[in-house]
Amino acid sequence: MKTLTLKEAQTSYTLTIDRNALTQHLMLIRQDGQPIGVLVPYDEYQTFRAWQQERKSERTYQYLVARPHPWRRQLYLKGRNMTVGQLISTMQANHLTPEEAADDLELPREQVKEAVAYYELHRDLLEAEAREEAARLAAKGYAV
Amino acid sequence: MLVDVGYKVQIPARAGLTGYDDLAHFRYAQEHGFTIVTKDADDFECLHQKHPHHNGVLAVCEETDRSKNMQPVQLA
Repeated sequence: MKTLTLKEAQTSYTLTIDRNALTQHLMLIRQDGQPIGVLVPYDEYQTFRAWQQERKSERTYQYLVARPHPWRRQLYLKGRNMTVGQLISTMQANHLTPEEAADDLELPREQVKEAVAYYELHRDLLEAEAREEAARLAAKGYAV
Repeated sequence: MLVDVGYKVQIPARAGLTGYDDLAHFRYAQEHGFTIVTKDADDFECLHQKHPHHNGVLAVCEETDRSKNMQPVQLA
């Protein structure tokens, strides 16, 4: 691992850092002799963030679970074959409150409330996956 | 609503399929002559490609544009 002090990193001259160099040697950044960060290739960072997010989800949610899927990343309702997005779109289409949705779909109220909270935090992901599904169907020739 | 107009309707809970995967629902509908109504359009399309002999799949896509959601009066 290469080491770079923060003072060097703040200077105006150009550091020769490219992807190959980062792949071969992670670069440690120190401040006052103490390590404060590491430069890694961006794809490794993304992989780490995805892993970190999954771990966080597993820890945080009681009624939602991750399931392997070819392209979906959003969580599912534990014990049901239903994504959070499918629940939310049902609620929105039928103007259901969380309590009404829980009663109508025979779900624990806490599970619906947790799903709604998850949706609020991950709205971009759920909407992107709804668009992804529509695009996949359109690519197969279905009118969406 | 469907029952009111004479359709026989089954739901996963009554069929003992709560929490089962897509293939289990697909097989049940296939064996009992039901048409599937699902919001899981892409996954059931894949099942349709693998097992083309079934009684139909009515897929309802999630719509990110809420203004396009049908109102109950439009569905009735």
